[in-house]
Amino acid sequence: MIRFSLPGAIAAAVCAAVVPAAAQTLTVGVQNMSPYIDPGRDHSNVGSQQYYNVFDTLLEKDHTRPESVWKPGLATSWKLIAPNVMELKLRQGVKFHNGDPLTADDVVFTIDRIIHTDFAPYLIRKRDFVPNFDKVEKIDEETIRITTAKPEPLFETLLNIQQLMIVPKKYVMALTGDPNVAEAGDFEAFGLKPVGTGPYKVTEYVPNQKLVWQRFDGFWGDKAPYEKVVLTRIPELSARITALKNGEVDLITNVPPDQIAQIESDAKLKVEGMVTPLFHVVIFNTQHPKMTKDLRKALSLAIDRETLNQALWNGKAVVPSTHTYPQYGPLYMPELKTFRYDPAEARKLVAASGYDGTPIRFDTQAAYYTNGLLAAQAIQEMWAAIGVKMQINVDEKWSGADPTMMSRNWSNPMYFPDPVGSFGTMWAPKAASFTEGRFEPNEAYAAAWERFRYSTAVEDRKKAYAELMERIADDPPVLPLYQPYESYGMRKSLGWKPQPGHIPYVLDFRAESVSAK
Amino acid sequence: MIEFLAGRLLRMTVTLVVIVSAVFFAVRLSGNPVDYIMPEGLDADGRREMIAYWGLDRPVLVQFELFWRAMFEGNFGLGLVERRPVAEIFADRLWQSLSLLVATLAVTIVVGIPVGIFTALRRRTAVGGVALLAAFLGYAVPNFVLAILMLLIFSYTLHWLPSSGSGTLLHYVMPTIALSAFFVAALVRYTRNAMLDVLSQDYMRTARAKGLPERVVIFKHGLRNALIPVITVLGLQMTSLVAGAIVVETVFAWHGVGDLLIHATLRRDYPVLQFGVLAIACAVVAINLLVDLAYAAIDPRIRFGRTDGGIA
Repeated sequence: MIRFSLPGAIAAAVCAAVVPAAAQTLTVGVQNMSPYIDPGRDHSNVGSQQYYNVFDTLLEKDHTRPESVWKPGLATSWKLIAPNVMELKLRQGVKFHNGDPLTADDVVFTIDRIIHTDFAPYLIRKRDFVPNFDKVEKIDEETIRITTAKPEPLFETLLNIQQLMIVPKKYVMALTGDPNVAEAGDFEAFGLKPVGTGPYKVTEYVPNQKLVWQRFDGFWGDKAPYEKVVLTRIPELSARITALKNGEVDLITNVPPDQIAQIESDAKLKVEGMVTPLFHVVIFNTQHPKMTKDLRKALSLAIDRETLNQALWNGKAVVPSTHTYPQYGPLYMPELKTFRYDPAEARKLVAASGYDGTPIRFDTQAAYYTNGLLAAQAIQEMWAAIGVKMQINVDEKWSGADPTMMSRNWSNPMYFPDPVGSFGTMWAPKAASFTEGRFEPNEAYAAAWERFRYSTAVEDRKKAYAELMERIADDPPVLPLYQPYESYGMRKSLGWKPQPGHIPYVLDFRAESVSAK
Repeated sequence: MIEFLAGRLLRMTVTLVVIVSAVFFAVRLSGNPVDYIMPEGLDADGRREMIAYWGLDRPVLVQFELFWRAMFEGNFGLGLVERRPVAEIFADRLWQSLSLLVATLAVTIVVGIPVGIFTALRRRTAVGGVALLAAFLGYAVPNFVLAILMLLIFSYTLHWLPSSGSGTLLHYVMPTIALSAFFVAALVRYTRNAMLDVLSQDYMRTARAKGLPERVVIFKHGLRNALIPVITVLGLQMTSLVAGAIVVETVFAWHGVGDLLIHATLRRDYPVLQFGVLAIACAVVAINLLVDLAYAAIDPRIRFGRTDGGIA
């Protein structure tokens, strides 16, 4: 160790000169970074960090509030001209980062590339998010019209999703091959050289490593508060915290609850956090012969989620009584109580189920979800208390489509603020859980889903959603454990915090979201 | 000499073909990338579509044939996660890793050999003992422990050195030390043992007897002979440096090839893995060749005698 201390004095002197001091640059240490920047194909938690600063949606929303309050975005007005037709007026004078003006053609192209596509990554997003979108047309230079197959109660919500952020038609098509045709190569290339209309433009991007946003002076709205924002990937938690304490970065993401006190003990630092609209869940394979309905109900009732919250999240997470978040707005229904802890009832159900002592396999990745493995170990004890043996299987592989899967953890994020955008992405009758063969909803469930999805009256949707929740509780394929509490460590002088009106993990550095540099 | 080189090159080529083919099949046995790259709720159609999009829906032997055809055209394919040519993905990272490896190699040689000689010459003194003890410590402490210890002292507590990323010379200090500690220690021990062997040889006594200055005795007669086994060991150790780099790059958020390979493995990104293994295999084979050549340069018996290269 003697030889290390020798260059110390020189190092200290040079390092002081190296650490960025300019207030105009914000440096963020992120745990992960996406391998491409294309809002249309991405729906990952990692990806959602990096779109809102660069791209705009047709409709904007007030991000300081959890419930949806729509504001003009790239569209200045919108109205339903028939139950399934929406007409929008486009904002004039908007420029893309490459200087191209925003036109009706760009908007039509953006939506068309998702809803009429043979590019696999877009095709997948179409089914997830806008299966009901049928047609998009330019009426004149300022007006576009969108037609859906059935009347769409979620029109506004869907025009605000990340996947429909507007991209420049000419620029995209000219990236590779024929400049008049949109090819797969164009979409791939766009993911590396993205161009939008937002307050920051991407000036440097090395996938999985580094992303630089520069203020875009031609932005139509309020000027971006930072000249430059640098995102750098620091995968190790200890390295992220050290970089923050050392002044190398101003802000770090993905701080687990047990590190909050440590960061706050430094007088120059603070932690801001928020309960995220996302559930960590336990899922069951309803089609596995050993996973009978009674046993699944028992396993669900046996999990003391409040204790998990206290032990793993210092009580900062939220344990739901049903699948609901405040972000659901009028469909937020905390009064529904469909998930509870009742070990006595659970024991009775285990006896009734004829459980034969077979260990129940529980699949989990080693470190994918914060506290994921610890929660699995705690649940193992809780199941043991009702006489059920759990065998934890640590594997990085997604086992949801594996018929031998019995139970596992998963996360259910909110992709847009409606039950359809969270519960629905996994538990709609034809969604992933069904096609992967571990959830077989009956006709009554499918009928309730149709009423919930397409009724235009809010009261009808609420009633149908309550029915779906009862059905889920009665024959459970899933148990939401908690909404995790996501924390960010930062310089004390930084006036930034995550906003409740966003989908999870968005890093929003627009003017209205930063109060002090 | 030409015959020697030709034989070596032929063996290198066969080795590379076997390694790359083995990796091609091994990664495909280890799981489908769709299960590792897209874990969040992909429906069955989407699964099929993504597999087709990556070109992995074709029979494995057809993929194998296409893979080799493309290779001969210098096309190594697109990464499955980063949709751009794998050669480009590696090029972005290679300089980072190479510069770290070169720094490590330089530190290893500049520190390891002199300290090795020193401990051999001062075998029974306190200073020599301390140096040897330090070398044993370097050998015993895993690089990630050393790395985290340094982070704690020099970044977290003292704020002297940047903890992560790259860009300035200061960024090299801790990763280089973490990575070279083991190799310095190994080299000290090998150099010391080799020197001790040489020091007791008759020709050393002869050299001293004919009145040569001690410096010339040690460096010209002693070190030159001691270097033969040392270079062999150095070459072999350098290949394990790549493995060490993977860990150190992760700890210091050093965006190099090691970090890239870890992610490609976790996500079963076949093209990246195939290219990565090919690149590493090339490097290892090249290092072995260099060791052979260095060996031949130092030892005339190898240069003029056996043609199969023998030892390395």
